[in-house]
Amino acid sequence: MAAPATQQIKIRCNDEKEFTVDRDVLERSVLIKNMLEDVTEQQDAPIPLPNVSGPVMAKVLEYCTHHRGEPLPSADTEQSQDETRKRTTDISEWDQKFITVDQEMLFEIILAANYLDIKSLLDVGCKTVANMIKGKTPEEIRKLFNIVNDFTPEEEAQIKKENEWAEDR
Amino acid sequence: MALHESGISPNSVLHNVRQDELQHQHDDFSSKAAELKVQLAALTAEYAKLEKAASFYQAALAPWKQLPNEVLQRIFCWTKSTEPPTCVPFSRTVAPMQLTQVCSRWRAVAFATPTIWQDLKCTVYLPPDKYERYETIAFLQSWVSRAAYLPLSIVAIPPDLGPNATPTPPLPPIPQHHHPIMQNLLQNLGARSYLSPQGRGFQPWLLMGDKFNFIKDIITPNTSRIRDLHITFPMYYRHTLAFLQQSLKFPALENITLDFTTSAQFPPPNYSLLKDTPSLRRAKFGIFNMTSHTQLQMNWSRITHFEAGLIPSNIFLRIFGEMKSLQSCKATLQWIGTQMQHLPNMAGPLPVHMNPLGGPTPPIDLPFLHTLELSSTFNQPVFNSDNTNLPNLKVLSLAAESFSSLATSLLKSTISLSELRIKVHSQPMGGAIRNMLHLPALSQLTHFTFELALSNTIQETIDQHILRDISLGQLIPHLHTFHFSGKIFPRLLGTLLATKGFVSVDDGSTIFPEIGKPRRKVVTRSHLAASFVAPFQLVKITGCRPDILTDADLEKIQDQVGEECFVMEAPEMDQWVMMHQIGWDIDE
Repeated sequence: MAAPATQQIKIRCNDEKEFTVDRDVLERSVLIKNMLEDVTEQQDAPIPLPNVSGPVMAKVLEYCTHHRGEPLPSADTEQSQDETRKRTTDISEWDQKFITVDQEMLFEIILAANYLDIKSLLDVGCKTVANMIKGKTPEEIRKLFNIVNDFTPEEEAQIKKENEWAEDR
Repeated sequence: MALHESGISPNSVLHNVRQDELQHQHDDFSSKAAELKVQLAALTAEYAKLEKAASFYQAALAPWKQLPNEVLQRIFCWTKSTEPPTCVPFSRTVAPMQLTQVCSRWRAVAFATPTIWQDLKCTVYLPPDKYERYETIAFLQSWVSRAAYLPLSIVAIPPDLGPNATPTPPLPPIPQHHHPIMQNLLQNLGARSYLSPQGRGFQPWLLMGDKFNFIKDIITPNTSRIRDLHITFPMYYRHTLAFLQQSLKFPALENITLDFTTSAQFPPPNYSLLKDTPSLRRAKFGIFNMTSHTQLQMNWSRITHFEAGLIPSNIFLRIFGEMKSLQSCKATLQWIGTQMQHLPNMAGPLPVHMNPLGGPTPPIDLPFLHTLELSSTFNQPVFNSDNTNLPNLKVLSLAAESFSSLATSLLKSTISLSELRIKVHSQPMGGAIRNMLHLPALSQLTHFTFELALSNTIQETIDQHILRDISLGQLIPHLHTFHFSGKIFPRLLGTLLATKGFVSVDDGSTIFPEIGKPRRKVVTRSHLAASFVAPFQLVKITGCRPDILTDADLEKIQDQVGEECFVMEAPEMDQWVMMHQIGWDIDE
């Protein structure tokens, strides 16, 4: 007997790029999952995703397809992880390879994961950025992310005072 | 054609052209050059201006700028390491302080992210003039206040006064009452960065003034929020920690580590602070002494993890049975023997059922205990197996001079043991071995022996026809890992290990070729690799040096087992050789 056909859902990105995706893949996104649950009737019109571009959505769908079927993290899970403080910035091998993209795409993926409410992808992105930050001086971080030192004189004075307690000032 | 384009040498021109004409042309070019220089400077300035503007817009358009603050906060949370960050002194390459020095927005977001401020470690490391007490307290209080109402993890670790300490530890004004010799020494320290005065009656903490009291100042007002407290201090700073003996309440305290070095002059403090710790689950003590116990009236039944670097055996016995929620326990038992009655603060004799000298022990029923690691330097019948029940004990580690009776008792008290680690010094433990053979779930066995304990035991067992013609593998059906380190007769090892499974032999293992002959060290791992590979599917040889396990050995092994079963990793340090069972007779 043939397996029941998976429902296909259409989505449209902000650059008019459209994707037709299996529902269980799309439901990795809590945002889309809730939207689909709210719609009782079958709709042919694509779901508009005004905050995500086609190339970024393609990456997001790559992630969702790879992780389809995995249990979605619940609020309880997140809380208990926090409780046990076993938070680790380790990233699985596949995820690491997946997230090896240029900085612009990395932040776009994080933004998309945040908008689409895909917690696991958001964490992969945030962990990646956190790992880039670790062990760097503020000056190195500025250079890495193209950040301008815009401290006010008052803030500079305060930082100078704080640095009295720094071992590597 | 201009002169400079004519190809004529300036020297020859001087002879042919009038001086004033040359001067005129020179002035002309100089003027143009100056004009161009002005234009170039203007263009350079314009370029710099445009570049600055471009970088401004580039920075303004930087990808990270699009992140909302809550995502930035999430990233910051992931910069937390598993260990609390050191705040005194902090590092500019470690969060959270690192994050506050990047730009205004990061600083504001970091300050508004309580999670990254809830852990702090203070090393008592105080460069002179910079770490005035009130300033340090203010700095720490700012840190803690950013954690909002989150529970705190505080670690206080010893000052680094070693020779490599930089900068020089502070030397406050020398107390007047010090001996003139000491005063003279202190006044003439010069560039010395390390001072370790010792002697009867000398109180080195007086040199430090109240510099370390900020530990007290940060802990005392926050007792209601402290979830983890880790204090490691040399004992001569105990005056700094005297506040811990006050009646403080720690309602949120879940984990505590108290580790003090000690001596006769500086006995350990009592742990009065543990009286009001209803949330305490994990307790780790460097030294847990009699004094502390008798003064301690805490509810042990909630403790899930207990660790004591050194604990009198009778104290351990008393509290072990009370820890009904215990999941993991690690302790080094201290034998106090007949001196017990002379110990101070001993509130009367122990009840007879707690007598560690051989009388009946209290019933011990710990249904959740998963891991028990005990070590000692004596052989003591701590447990009575008739009333000890550890139904879920999975991992048992015993290290002692001899644990014959203790091991026997413990092995009788559980049937679910899957991993057993035994480290004995010299005495036989036949009873334990025999009990071990009846553990149905035992799958990992580690045996470390300094002498011939295992071989003697097995020999003795074989002589008693217990193990004759039967392998350990047959007796312990699920055993798949056997780690062995020590000395053993090959035949006995063969008897013991004539089982399919894994074997690892640690560095320093030796084998005596035959019983009865003079001891001769024949092997190291190459011998084992060559001689003992056959009965096993896998031989693990750790830390092997190439000069011991030679290429020839490896080739020989490879020839025996076939290339497809030959696995090597990190060949110079860690050799793994995978073998098929090929029925090799160990006595050959």
